[in-house]
Amino acid sequence: MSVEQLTIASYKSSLKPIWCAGCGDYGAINPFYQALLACQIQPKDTVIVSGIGCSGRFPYFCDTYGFHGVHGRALPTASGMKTANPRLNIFAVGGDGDGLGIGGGHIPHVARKNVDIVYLLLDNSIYGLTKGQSSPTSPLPMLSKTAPYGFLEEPLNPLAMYLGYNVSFIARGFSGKPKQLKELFIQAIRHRGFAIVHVMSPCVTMNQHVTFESLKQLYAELPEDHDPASRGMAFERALDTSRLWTGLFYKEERPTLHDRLVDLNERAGRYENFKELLARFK
Amino acid sequence: MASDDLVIRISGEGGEGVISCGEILAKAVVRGGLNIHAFRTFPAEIRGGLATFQLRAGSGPTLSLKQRIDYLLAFNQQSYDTWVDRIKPEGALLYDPKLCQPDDRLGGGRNFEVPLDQLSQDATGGTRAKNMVAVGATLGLFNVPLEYGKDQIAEFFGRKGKEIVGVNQQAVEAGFVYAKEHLRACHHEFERHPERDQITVTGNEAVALGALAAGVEYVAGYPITPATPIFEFLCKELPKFGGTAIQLEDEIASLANGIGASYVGKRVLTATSGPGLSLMSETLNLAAMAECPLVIINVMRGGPSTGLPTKTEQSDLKFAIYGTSGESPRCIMAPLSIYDCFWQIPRAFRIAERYQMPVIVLTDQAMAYSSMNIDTPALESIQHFRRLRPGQDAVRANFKRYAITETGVSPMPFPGEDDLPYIGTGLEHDETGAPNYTPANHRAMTAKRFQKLRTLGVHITQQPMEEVEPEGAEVGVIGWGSTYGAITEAIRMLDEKDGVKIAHLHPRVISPQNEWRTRRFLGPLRKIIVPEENYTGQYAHFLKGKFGIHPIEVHKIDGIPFTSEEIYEAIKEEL
Repeated sequence: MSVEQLTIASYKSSLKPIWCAGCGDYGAINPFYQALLACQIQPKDTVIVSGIGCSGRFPYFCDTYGFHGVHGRALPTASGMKTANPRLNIFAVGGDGDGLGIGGGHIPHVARKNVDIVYLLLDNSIYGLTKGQSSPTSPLPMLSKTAPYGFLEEPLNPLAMYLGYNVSFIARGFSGKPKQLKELFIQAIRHRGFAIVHVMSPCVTMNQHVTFESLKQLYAELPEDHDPASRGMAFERALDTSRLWTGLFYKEERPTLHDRLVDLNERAGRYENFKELLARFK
Repeated sequence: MASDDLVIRISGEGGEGVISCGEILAKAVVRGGLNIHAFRTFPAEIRGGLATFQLRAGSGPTLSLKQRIDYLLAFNQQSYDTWVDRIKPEGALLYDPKLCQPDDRLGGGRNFEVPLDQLSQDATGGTRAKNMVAVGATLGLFNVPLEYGKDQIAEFFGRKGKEIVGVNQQAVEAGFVYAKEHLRACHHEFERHPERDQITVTGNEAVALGALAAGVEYVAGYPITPATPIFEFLCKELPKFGGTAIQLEDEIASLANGIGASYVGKRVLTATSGPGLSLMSETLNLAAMAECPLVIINVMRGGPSTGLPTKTEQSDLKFAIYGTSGESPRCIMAPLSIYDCFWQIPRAFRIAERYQMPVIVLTDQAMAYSSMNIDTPALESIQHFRRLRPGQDAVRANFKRYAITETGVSPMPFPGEDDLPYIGTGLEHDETGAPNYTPANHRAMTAKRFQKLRTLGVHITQQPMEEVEPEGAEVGVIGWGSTYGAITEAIRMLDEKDGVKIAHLHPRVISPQNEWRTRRFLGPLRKIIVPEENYTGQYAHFLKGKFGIHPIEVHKIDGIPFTSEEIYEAIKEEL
């Protein structure tokens, strides 16, 4: 195999994205390609894992290995790949329904294990693929096909949730700001441990409430004095929903699952052969 | 003594050491040159409730649990009250008069005192070692040399230090000496097997050892009774062979995680039980659709729902074969003995890897928690199989991960090793893995996936099955899983007592079942009996659908396994 010069084209598959024109996900996938290039990620050593939803199609548009699994299980599947072969670059991609609804229960456990993967959560605050039902981040006054008289539940605060779970890298971006997003993806890739980049990625077809316009008005970059080492400070910004704070909220270096497994294997020791184990049953 | 084996049941309050007493005893008796079949029942609580250990030991094959017992060793009144009626007419009660007051139900000088508390007190200065006194007394009855018991004590308590070992060895000796002096009427001399190379394992241990022998590399699991011991065992031992065992947050995550590991090329296993398998059904379909091989051990317990977590049942068969949405090929296996629990696991891995599909191995609580002595496996004879990989000539552009082939099996590249990226997917796809919903494609790809099952079916035809068809037999029994021992013994009883020859078929691969051999077996038979431990006759219905037969169904739904006596009666009724 010849080592070819990587370009943006190295990461784009021959399948053209089937997302609606103007979909926020274009604003996420283009900076993602750029970040892969910036980090010189080898497509052959990379798997992108997704669940179900518009963003679930993400792997098909990347010329890397990909895995399009069942609804809500991208994180445990991706974790299995990384744990089984730590040399691979593993990404999980999903939407707010896949990641925070049906699959939301997996986030704390990947955070506890600190599996060294990058999770792109593309949040459009609606179920877009199935054409307009409420999602865990749909804001209260919003109407949807499953909330025709108005939503009955408070929206989730995903950033506060990640912080509560002590995810070791937490960032938020906006697909209307691709340059910042590229930088956040690069930092996430370079982080050793579980990294979530929460991307506000509007659905232009099904969601008239959370739009590029509405998000632009709320958009703000975290102030210069924000200290990503301070979980308390990150919590304050996450809880301040008067603005859409973006940037690197929180980052902590701590042992990954792989680090701990290496240590475990050393402590467990090795059998000379299988007979040594069988002898215990005599 | 007519029988060539003896059954002793030791029963007491949970936490009194009945189970550990049984485990030590089992190994010591095997060392002494006898065959054993041991079964334990736990109370639902950690402490309290009745715990029972039953040991069948003798010189002949001990294939099943027995209904009637020769000796009851009762630690307390409740044990006596619960089990006294199981004692055979020629059997006896062993009891501590301080702990249990038998009535005159047995009569005829068949109640023998064994002062467990007193002997323990005299030998060790306390009553806590009374279970070890029981070990010694039982070794005396079976005429197993005391040294084997002492050796097992040294191994069992070795980590707790010399003093603890010494105290317990004294207790064993006290029981042994007492039995030799006072229980002469109960002694039995068996023909002993010379030095054999054997191990004593439970069904769960055999499965876990089988997985290690098969070269399992990755285990993803979630604790569930009665499969937990497999997972615990592998968590402890797999790292020592360089593999990884990891606990997930639930069974859905476990199987999803295992699929991830399989996708990157590892040999993967997870062990669960009914409720866990239910949770896995969606991801099980994903493994079938994305063609990721893995082995799922399902240790069946009483259902439905939470059911009887610590009791046995054979009620997950239909769910294992059919229980998912859509139609996805998978292989269902059922080891028929503890020995088989070891040997069928490497086979399960070979099938999974060769056909790139999930293999579900059905065992059950009774087998999982029973122990037997088996020949120490000769590991050289285990064959390994790695899944088909793309050749050197494979081209990156439009690489066909799901190529339609004669066997249905397509080469699978591994990320990090092959520069042949593709999308593994649960969505209907074409040969490259790209989404495709057209009628022609769905037809072709469904056929491709099922072609693997068909190829496996043909392959299996060439492999021998567990079958006995004596000349002139008109009635046959078809069983599956752990009922093998009880059926085999029942058929032997019919031959010896009644002079009736009965045929017996017991497939290890249930789906796809060996069609040619099954039809050949059915050919000369007038009547088929299918005993199984469930209410609805799941396997009987499967056979009915597959082979157009109308078997007589025999069901047991007690949470405990069939005994050979029950099968004997059931067959006799149909003659």
